[in-house]
Amino acid sequence: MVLLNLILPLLAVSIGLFFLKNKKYLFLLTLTAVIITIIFIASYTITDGYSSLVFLSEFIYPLYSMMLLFGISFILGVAFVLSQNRTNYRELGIIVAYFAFSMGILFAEDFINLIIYWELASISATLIILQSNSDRKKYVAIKYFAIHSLGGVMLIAGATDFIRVLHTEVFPLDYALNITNLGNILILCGILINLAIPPFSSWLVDGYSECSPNASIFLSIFTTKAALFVLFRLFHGAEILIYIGIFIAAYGLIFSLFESSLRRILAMSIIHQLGIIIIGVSAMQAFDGFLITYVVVSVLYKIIAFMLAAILIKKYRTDNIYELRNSINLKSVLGISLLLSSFQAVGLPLTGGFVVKTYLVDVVALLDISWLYYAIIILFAGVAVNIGIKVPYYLINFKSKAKKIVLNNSRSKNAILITIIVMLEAIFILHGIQYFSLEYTLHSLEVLAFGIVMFSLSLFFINTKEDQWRLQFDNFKAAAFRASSNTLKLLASEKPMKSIGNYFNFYLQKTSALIKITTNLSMRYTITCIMIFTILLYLALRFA
Amino acid sequence: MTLKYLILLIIFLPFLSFLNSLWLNKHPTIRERLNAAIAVINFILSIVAYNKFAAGEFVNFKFIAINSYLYLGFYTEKITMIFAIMVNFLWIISMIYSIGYMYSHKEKHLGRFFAFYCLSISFTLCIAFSSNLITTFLFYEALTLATFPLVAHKLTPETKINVKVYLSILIGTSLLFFLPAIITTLLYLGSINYTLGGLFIRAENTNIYMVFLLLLLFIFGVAKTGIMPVHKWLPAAMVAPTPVSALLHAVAVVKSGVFVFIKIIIYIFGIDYLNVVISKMFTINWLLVIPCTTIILASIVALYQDNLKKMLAYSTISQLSYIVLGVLLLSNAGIISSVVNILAHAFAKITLFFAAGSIYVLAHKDKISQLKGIGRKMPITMTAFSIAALSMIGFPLTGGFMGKWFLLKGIWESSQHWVIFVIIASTVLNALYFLPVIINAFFYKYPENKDEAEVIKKSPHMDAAMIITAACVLMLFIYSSNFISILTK
Repeated sequence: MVLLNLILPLLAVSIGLFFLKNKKYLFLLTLTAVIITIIFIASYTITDGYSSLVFLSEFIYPLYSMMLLFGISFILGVAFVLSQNRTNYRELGIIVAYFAFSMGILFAEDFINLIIYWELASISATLIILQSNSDRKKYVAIKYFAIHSLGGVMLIAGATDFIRVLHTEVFPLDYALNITNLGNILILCGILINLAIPPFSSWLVDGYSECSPNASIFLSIFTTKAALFVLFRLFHGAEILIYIGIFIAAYGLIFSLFESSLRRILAMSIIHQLGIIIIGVSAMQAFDGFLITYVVVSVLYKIIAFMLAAILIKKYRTDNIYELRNSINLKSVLGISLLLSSFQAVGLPLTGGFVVKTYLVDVVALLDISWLYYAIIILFAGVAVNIGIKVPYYLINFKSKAKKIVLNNSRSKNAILITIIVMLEAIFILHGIQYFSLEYTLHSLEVLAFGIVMFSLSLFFINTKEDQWRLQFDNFKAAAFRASSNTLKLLASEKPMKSIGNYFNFYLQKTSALIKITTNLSMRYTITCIMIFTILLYLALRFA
Repeated sequence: MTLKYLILLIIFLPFLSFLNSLWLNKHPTIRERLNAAIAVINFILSIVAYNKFAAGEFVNFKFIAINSYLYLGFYTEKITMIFAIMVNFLWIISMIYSIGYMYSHKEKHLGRFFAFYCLSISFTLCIAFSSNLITTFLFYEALTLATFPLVAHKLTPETKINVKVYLSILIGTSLLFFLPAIITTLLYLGSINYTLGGLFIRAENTNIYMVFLLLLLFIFGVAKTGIMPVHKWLPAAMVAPTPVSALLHAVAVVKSGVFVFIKIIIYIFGIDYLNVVISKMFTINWLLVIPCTTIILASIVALYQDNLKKMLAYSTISQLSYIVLGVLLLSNAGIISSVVNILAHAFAKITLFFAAGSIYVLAHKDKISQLKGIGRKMPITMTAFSIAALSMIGFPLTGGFMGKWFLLKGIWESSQHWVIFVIIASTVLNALYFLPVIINAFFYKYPENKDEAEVIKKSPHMDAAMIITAACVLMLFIYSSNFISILTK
């Protein structure tokens, strides 16, 4: 049903968008894509009997709410793209295809379909990255595709084992795989690579910050969330996911503290959020929809944030939050919405963030692991630091009157843009008011307190202005990459033995230089991190 | 017509077009039309023969019998029939392509070129239909000699060095390893006919170490499988004109090498017997280390090639070891994966070489770093290239995916779990060396040099050939279920 009703029509539209040149047709085609999506969602709603407003409540059919989330965020994103002065319709064409394939992942009933859509989504995302004007696009695209093909082939390898053992290609919705044999471990690894597990997370950060500003809105939604959905389906209740989730979240938290580019901070915070959700997956007793609410809130938040980033990048031609200091007036739509979203990220009462966070705390408490509560509170504080405090702290001008950002020349386009942002904010606030309960207010204040402490500490320890840390880290990465590629070149050369002799001296010199860089880097870095965490742990234990 | 005469015709018709090409050297149009007609007829005949075979007919006949075991023998078998159809089909397409190529490039000595081209096809089919090791060995050597004038076609100093490497490795290994192995088998068992279930299972008191040594001799003796360290002949053969690299050095010659290897494992040793030998000697199947190292090392070498054809050659070496790996898994699933891989690789690799050739002839570029923006000037060529490259990576919707899928299935079934990681690593390496080419071609602007004033010509022959083979790559995925049901019957 999904192939005929949604994916094939959208593919036809995307081919039209890619090859046609007449602007009228292009606009109409874009509208067609939106209408196809709406009709699909509506038909699903009617046939399954769900009203369109319940998707934020906890106990609903997860596939349906995921589909609704994807559809709505796609439509909002398209509306945002159309509200810009110039629209890159070629890019939009690939984005439509990317959306179609991501929907395919949600609806896949067997492994072959899942793998096909999985890989097609990854290649269309690669094509989206390649549409940007960045100098690094080739490098980033190759990295993106190579890492995803690693995940894809792991999934294929696991799937072949799954099919061989069970003699069936279909996997039911509520099927928890046990992580005891190699095949299932490979499936898990393949999914986790799409969820940006740290050694393989650079595709996310690089890809989402090097593509064009409009494209990063869409990229931030689909790949990781579709993978999350598959993880919900196949591995709910797996205990190891607690540790994996904490690892991913801690990585995202620590590294986002050191980033200075707005989109890289947002990308790191995606990794961070994914980690927190993965912790929640281990607490799932069955394949139900409780975590979807968390996904919905984090996705809608990311859409607003990336839209703001796109507007700022277009206006100031830079991504660096230190250069963008005081660029948004508090008394404008952008300023208020940014502030509201930061409340949301911190999880202040009466916001959607508050509801989902308290809910997650509640559910994880079922696991009965004593230290997990503190870990989660610290990770929530990390969210508060990244996007709840750091971004508005630098971007919003609280004191004097800054110049208003003129969004667009045409009024109607401005109206569309403002409507989108107001709608998104309204969803959060309404959700927050609907499910507000007083007993969790203390949690959220705790999170806020931790967040402020952590942020001030990070301001104190990290010399952000010079961006030294990143430079050194890049040096280190470059040196490591050169060393490994030289080793590979040796193997590839015509006379390996001779060239090994030649390279021996060279390597001795290189190694000493590498050790110097590493020690210098790790000293500062580890001291900073250890200090922050010891203080935080101490505080957490005291509060409890 | 009985199946026997059909088989003889299928073998003989390419030989006829060899003679044609020599006689009609001064009438190129007639020569090419005749050759094309013969190729089409041969393709139709091979389909007819397959239908007869599928209906249950079976032939096994001999010529020039010296004694009860030394004779030229041919027989029919399922994999052979599929292989014959594939080779004949690709022969037609590469005839179309090579007409476009050789005339655009203004090559000389076309008569000689087409003659030996057809002769190689004939010998390839002889290898496929051969029913004992002696026949296989004779035509194996003959194929080496028949391709030698094609490799040396350009007659430049560079060619001479490469021809030396080509001949010395192929003939050297076959005389040093392959022939002694055949003779040992003959002395040991008293027979070298391909037999269902293997010859060794009948022999009494066999020494398993001896059998293992013999197996190693066969693995390195059949150097046409491109196994490392006897792989150097394949990159050396890349000095030949591209149609030769495309049909012979990516499909016919290497595939016949693999084919010989499959036959030796199944019909001389026997899968069950080898399983017993291996399980007596080792706890895990150490034989798999040989193709696995080839897969990884060849991919790494391909990563650092700037010459497009050399890169494709190393990619071929890596992919051929997938097939060898499938055979050495010593299971039915492994053999099926090998056959699927033979087909998937054949169509994808011939497309890649066709694309490389048309870039070389029409745009005069043979380095990957020069290919910036070429996709905008030659959209058909580079689209076909991209489809084939995705098939090499094992991307869904292409034939390569099916190959990888069945290979992984075979690996799980024989429970050699460490090999899974080799396949995973190789997939990533494949993506790493094919993707830069595609990105360079499509996502950069073509450097407009006013001084050079290069005009990229067009060749409908070459475009048509590439469109057909690229479509076949996609068809292999779509119709894979029909195909697999034929194989597993």
